[in-house]
Amino acid sequence: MNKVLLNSYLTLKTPRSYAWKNLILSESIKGGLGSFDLSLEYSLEESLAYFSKTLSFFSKLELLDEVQKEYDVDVKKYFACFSFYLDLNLYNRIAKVKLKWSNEFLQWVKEKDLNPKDCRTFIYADDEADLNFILDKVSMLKPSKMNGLKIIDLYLDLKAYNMIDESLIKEFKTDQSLLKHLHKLKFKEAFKRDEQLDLHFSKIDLLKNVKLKVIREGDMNKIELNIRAWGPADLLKQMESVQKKIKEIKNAWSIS
Amino acid sequence: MNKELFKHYNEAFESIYIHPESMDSKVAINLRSLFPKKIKDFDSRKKIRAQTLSPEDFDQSKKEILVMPYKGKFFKQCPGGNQNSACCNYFVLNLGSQCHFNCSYCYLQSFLNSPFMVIYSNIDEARFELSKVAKSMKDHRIRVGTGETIDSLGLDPLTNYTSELVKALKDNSNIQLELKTKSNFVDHLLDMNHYNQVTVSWSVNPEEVVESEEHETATLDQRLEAARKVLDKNFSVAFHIDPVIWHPDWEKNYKRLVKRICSSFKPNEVPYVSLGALRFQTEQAQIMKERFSRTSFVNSGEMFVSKDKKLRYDSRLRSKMFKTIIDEFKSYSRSWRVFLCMESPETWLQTYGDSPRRVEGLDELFVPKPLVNTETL
Repeated sequence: MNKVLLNSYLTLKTPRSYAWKNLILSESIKGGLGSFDLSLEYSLEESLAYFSKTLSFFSKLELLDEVQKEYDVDVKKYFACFSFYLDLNLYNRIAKVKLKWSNEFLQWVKEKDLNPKDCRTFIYADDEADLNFILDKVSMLKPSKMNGLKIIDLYLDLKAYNMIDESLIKEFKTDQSLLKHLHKLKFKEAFKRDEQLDLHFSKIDLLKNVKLKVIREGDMNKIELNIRAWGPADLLKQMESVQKKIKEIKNAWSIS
Repeated sequence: MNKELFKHYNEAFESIYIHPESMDSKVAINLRSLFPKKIKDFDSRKKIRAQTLSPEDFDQSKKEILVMPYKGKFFKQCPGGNQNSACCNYFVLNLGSQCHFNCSYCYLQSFLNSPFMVIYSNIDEARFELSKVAKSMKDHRIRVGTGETIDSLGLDPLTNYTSELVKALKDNSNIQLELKTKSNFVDHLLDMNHYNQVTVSWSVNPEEVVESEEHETATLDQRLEAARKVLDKNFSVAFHIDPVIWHPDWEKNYKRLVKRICSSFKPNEVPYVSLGALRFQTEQAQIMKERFSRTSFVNSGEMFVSKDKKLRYDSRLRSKMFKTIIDEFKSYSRSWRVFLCMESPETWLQTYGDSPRRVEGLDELFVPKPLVNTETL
C-alpha cells in the first residue's frame, strides 16, 4: 500500500486520521473523526468510503485502483456507503475506457467532477481514434462541463455521418466558437431555413427604424419585430407601414 | 396456444418470477403450466436500485417476467393532455409495464427503472375500476387504451386480459376499449364477444422504418393483415402513424405507407388515423444512441427542446411531414379522418389552419370531458 499516495488522496479536502484494522492509512491525525468510531470493526469498504467521501467520482476510482493492487475491494459495497447506486456495467465500462484517456483529459474529468451518467455521452463510442481526437481537443480548450459534454456529443454525432472536417476543428481556439460551429453543422437544415427566412425578410422594404428578424426558440422559429419610434405618432406610422407589408411577410414565411 | 406463438414466447423470455400474492392468479397458473422450467424462486430475483437502467439491464429486463399485484390505481388520464398539447380525451389502463418488442424510440427506455417486464395479476380490480369510471361518466363516451406502458396484445395470448376486460363492456356501453399494438397476435380475439366496443389499433410505419427501428415487431404487412382479420369480425380498427420519423426518404416512404393503407381499407372502416412526430425526453437521447447507434433513423434527425421539454423536430418540419401525410390520405378520399397526437396548438394551426375542435370530423374527439378523480375509484 502506498501510504503517501493514499494520504495525498485522503487529505485532499478534509485532513483526518486514517486507519483500517492494522493498516495505518495516514500518520498524522488532523481534525476530528466525526461519527467514525475506530473502536468498532469496519470493513475495508466502509473505512475507505468514510475517508474518501469528499473526493470526486474519478478520484474515488483512482483511490480504488491503488487499494485494489493489494486488497480485494467490493466496489459495489464501497459505493453503496455513499447511498450511491453504482451500475456495475457502467462502472466496468468506465474503468476499462479510462485507461485509454490522456492525463490531460483525466484531469479535466476530475476538475469538472463528471459522474458516471455524464460519461455515457462518450464511453460507448465505437471508434477510438475519433474519440481520442475530440477528447484531446476538449482537454486543450478546457471548457465547462456542460460545453465539454456537448462538444463531444455533437462531434460524435457528426462523425458518425462523415459530416465533419477534423482539420477545421483543429483551428478553433475557444470552446464557444467550436460549439457554435458544431451546432450549425448538426442543425444545418433548421439553420438554413432560418437564414433563408431572414434573407426574405431583409428584402422587404420597411421603414428605416423597423426591423424584422427570425429568432429560434427551441423547436420553433419566430418573427421578432423591432420598432424604434420617437413618439406615439411615429409609432403608429411605423406600425401601419408593417401592416402594409403583412402580405409580403406572410409570403416569405410560407416560402422558406 | 399454437406452436409458433409458443416458440416466440419461449425464445423471448428467460425467467419468470411470481410474487407470493399472485401465486393463484390465472396468469400465474397459465405461465407455470406453459413454461415450468422458466419459473424461478421469487426471492432470487435481481434487485436493482437505479434511476435509469443501463443498456444491458434494460435489454435484460425484457427477458424477465415478474407477475405481481398492482397496488395503485389502474385508470389514468392520458399524459398527453397537458397545457402544451391539444387533448383528445384518452384514458389509459395499464395492465403491466415493459414490452418484449424493442423499438429504438420507445419512451419506456427513460421511464422504467424496473429490471423486469411486469404483468399485473389483479386484473379483476382493473375491470372493477373500468366499470366504476364508466358508470360515473355514463353521459360521456370515453376511450380507454391499454397500450401505454405495455403493448396491448404483445402478451395477451399469455394473459388473456382482453377477454377479462371486455366483460366490463357488457353493462357499460359508453366505453370504447382501445388495444394498441405492433404485433399480429389477434387470433385469440376473433371469437370474442366485443359488444362492438373494442377498437384494435396498430401503430404503423413504412416498412423501412419498421425494419430499422421497430425490432422484434410484426412486419407492416403482418399488421395490416391482422387488422383485416379483426375488421372482418366487426372489431373497429384504427391506425397510429406514430412516431413519424424523419429519414432521407421519408416523403416517398410515408406516401407509400398511406397508399398501402388506402389500398387495403376504406375510410369508413377506420374511424380515425392519428399522427405524431418523434418526441422523447432529453435524457433518452443518450440511451438511444447507446442502444441503437448514432446512425439509426431516430438519432439522425435535428431535434430541439420544445416547450414541454421533450426533444422534437423543428415545428415547421413537423407540419410539413403531417401535411404531406394528410394530403396523401385526402388524395385517396376526403373521408379519411386524420388527427395529430400530442401536438401543440401551433402545429395544429400550421398543419390544419385551425384548432382541432374546429376541424370537421375531428371536433367530437376533442370536446373536453370532465376530469376523473382516480383517488375516488
